[in-house]
Amino acid sequence: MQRKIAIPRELLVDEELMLPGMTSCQGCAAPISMKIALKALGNRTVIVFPACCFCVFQGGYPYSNLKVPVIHCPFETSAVVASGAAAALDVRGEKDTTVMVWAGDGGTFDIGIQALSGAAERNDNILFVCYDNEAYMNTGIQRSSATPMGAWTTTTPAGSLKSEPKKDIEQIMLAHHIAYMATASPAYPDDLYRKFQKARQITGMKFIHLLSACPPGWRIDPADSVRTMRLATQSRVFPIYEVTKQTGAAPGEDTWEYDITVIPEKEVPVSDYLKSQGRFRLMTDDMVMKIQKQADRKWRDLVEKRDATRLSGV
Amino acid sequence: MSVKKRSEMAVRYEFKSYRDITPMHVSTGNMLYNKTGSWRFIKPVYEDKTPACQNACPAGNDIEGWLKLLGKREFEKAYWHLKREEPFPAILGRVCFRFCETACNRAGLDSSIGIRELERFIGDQAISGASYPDVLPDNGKRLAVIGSGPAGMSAAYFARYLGFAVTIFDKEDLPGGILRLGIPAYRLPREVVAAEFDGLVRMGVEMKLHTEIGRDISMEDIVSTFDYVFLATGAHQSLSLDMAESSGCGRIMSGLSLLQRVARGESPELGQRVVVIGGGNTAVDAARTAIRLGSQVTVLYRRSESEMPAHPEDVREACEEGVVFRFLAAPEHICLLPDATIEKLVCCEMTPGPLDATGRCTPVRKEGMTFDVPADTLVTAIGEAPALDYLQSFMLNTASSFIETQADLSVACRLPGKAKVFAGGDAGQTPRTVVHAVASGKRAAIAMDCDRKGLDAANVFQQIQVGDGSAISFSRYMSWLPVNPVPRNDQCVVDRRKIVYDYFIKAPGLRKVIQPGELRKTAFTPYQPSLTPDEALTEAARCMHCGRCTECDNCLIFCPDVSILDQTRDSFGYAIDYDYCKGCGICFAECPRNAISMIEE
Ligand SMILES: Cc1cc2nc3c(=O)[nH]c(=O)nc-3n(C[C@H](O)[C@H](O)[C@H](O)COP(=O)(O)OP(=O)(O)OC[C@H]3O[C@@H](n4cnc5c(N)ncnc54)[C@H](O)[C@@H]3O)c2cc1C
Ligand SMILES: Cc1ncc(C[n+]2csc(CCOP(=O)(O)OP(=O)(O)O)c2C)c(N)n1
Ligand code: SF4
Ligand code: SF4
Ligand code: SF4
Ligand SMILES: [Mg+2]
Repeated sequence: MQRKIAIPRELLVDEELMLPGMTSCQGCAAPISMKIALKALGNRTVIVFPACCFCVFQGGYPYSNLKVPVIHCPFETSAVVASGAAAALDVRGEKDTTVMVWAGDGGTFDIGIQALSGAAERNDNILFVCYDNEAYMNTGIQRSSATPMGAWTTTTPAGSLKSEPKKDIEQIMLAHHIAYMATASPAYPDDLYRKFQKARQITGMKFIHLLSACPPGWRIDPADSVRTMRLATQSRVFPIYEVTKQTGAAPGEDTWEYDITVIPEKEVPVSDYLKSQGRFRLMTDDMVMKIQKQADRKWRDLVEKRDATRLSGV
Repeated sequence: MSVKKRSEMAVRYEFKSYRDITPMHVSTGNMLYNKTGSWRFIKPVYEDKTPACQNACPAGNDIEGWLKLLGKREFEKAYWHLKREEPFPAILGRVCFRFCETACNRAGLDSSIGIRELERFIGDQAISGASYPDVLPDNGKRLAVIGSGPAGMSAAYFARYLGFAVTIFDKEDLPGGILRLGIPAYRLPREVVAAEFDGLVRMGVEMKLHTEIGRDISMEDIVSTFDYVFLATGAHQSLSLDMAESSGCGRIMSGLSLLQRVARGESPELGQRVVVIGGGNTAVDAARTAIRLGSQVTVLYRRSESEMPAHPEDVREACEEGVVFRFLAAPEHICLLPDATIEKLVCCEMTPGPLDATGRCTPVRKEGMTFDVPADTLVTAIGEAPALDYLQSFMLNTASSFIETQADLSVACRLPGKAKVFAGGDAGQTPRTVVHAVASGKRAAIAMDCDRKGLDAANVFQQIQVGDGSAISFSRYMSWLPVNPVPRNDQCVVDRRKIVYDYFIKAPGLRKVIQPGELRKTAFTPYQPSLTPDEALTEAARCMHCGRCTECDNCLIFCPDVSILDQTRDSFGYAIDYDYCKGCGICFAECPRNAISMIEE
């Protein structure tokens, strides 16, 4: 029996909200995520783009290949522009429209983090999506704080590979006590679909961290894009989970429910994931071991939190 | 939405001056004008291929095709689809050595699909009464099939489909060859063989039993009366042990003659202790037959267990029934009592010696390591050779112990008549199994039809080759449509490396329900029940449909360039919009079953 990707069939064959003709590289994973996300969100969606590959390849003025309203904004301002758009819709009484930021890792982890932190702290009613290809890809593969340890980029070349670990954006967002925080991967499209559907129904700040393979930046064959992301989850380098706020009886009594939503079909060592990509080719065994330890620790931590959630009966 | 429509919906602007630009920059165009298909240098195409199972089946059975129909509960369609390549599912579903299962890709996940049991299930569904579809009108040519074993039956079946007027001759009074006079009823009930023959008769095949060629009718008569002849007389002459003492002893018999006597309804008196010599099918079936006649049985084989030509499954079942195997042991001579009954057998231990031409060790005796084996009856089953006396005056190479054939199974012989002669099965150069015999019948029937039409058979065989070439497809010779209406590349085989196992859920395979050996050994009745429809459907659902699109939507879901268009509602599968497909290959890589190919442009 095949593990069927459970997305309602009528949506799969329905009119697409994303058109072809975009200039994304062969095998770029970001459009797969967008296509599925828009199926979940529907056409009552406003997208805010900071500078990133996606905003460029989906069409510069006077073109746009997304059949929903799109606002292009300066790099560091996406969250605050979205907050403004959400406030405007609120004033007009349009309650059924989702305002979604679609930003790269540079626009989230680095340049966009101030505005993002503000919107999160205010619990503004927006959905902030980071499609994380783990470097500044649009400008030619420069290191970001999302670049994993041991990766090659044009600014961490051979001889000085990135030595700092990837910034833990998920913990940063959770520290803001937001309504919903999830990770997702287009390698598991039905999980991704369900999370966007869920986010659409939650009022307040939602953050979705998407892994997004970039064949030129990751030094992989375009055809291996999805397979590589699947390995990321199977090796637990990128576990797929969600954290949902359960509103308490009084302010300060909120709790957060953890769920691991994709239990991978098999477990593989992180080296299987790392070895499949040219950007990690120069990594030392020592670094691989460190990544393995980090992955193990993160998984244990998640399982603990999930089990604690279950025990507490939320 | 049709492929053409999308590029027609492009909205493009050409600004002649800055005045054309709106003060508020609002994009109202789209990029459909940008046909990214021009980036591509390899392109994906939907192309069904040959699954590993079908490739391994000597008859080229389209297993995936009928499993798909079975999965949809279309039992009758599945039956007819199966019979396109393999005419006797109720027989092969019981006795085949499971070449397909050994190759099945599902073993890379958990365990192979129980194809033989499913084949039997389908074969038993619709065994009687059905009439044959699509048989071609008479083509004016007459075919004589000599021998009604599986090779002859298969040639008759396929030739009849092709419009030949077919007559089968057999010296026995019941048809079936080894199926009836060799393989015991506990493995293959007689009614099953009879029912498959009824089918042939319903197709219009004429049966002339009790007619031995070379005795009742001469080969000369045959070759001057018929246009084509298929020799399928099997290999029934048992080789005898080189032991002078044995002559004249009534308690020494060949395995095949024991099996034949039992098949004819006799219950030969074998005494308490039976010793069987040999390691092939005949030895194992003779041993299991002797156990059922109430004797204690020891099988002596001069090589090791792993070298036995008999199928391991049959050996295991024999052990369960109480047959004792003694490997690396060979008889030296027989001690007879004055009344010409056997006293004992003096045997010697053997050890693997130097490799022979076939790469097997030649066993050599261990000096001084002799031992006695008491016995009342000795059954020898050390091999069978074809009896070719009836061909003496025709064979070019009379020294040969089998009928030498060309690639198209034709026989080069000195024949005075008009007929063209072909040969297959055990009498020819075919490996000695039922399915190889069936495959040879198919090959010969197509070769005869090619000859009739003046086509080059070698060329035709290549065009209808299944997978990497051990089998040929009758469906394709007949231009019958496959289950999936998509282009096919039948010569490309889908092996385990091409399956994306991540997409398949582990599920236990068939649990064999089989009577315990203690109970089985008391009767000649079959001991393995048919699958229930529920069991069959559950097992069929495990098939991964290697190389054949199942409309699972993976390609549609993953294409980053929305270049895969659904067609499942109107026809079948999907279309690729080559205006925009960039050739990334994700659809190809994420197809769980390799039903998409990437081809150079
Ligand atoms: C005991 C035993 C068990 C076996 N078990 C299996 C098994 O489980 N699975 C498997 O795949 N294979 C098995 N085999 C092998 C398989 O049975 C043979 O390979 C297969 O039957 C060969 O088919 P055939 O049509 O060439 O010959 P046969 O089945 O031998 O048929 C030949 C026919 O020709 C007739 N004939 C011969 N000479 C003349 C003549 N001059 N005129 C008219 N008719 C003539 C004979 O009467 C006979 O009916 C077994 C073989 C034996 C001996
Ligand atoms: C303020 C500002 N600084 C720099 C740039 C140049 N710039 C455009 S896209 C980009 C990289 C974006 O990286 P990321 O956010 O990770 O998205 P990606 O391109 O990797 O998808 C940069 C540096 C800019 N547009 N604006
Ligand atoms: S550079 Fe990477 S992220 Fe950008 S379009 Fe190409 S594949 Fe996608
Ligand atoms: S899984 Fe199905 S199609 Fe694939 S080899 Fe096995 S039986 Fe054949
Ligand atoms: S996934 Fe889409 S773009 Fe990529 S090769 Fe297949 S059809 Fe073309
Ligand atoms: Mg980036």
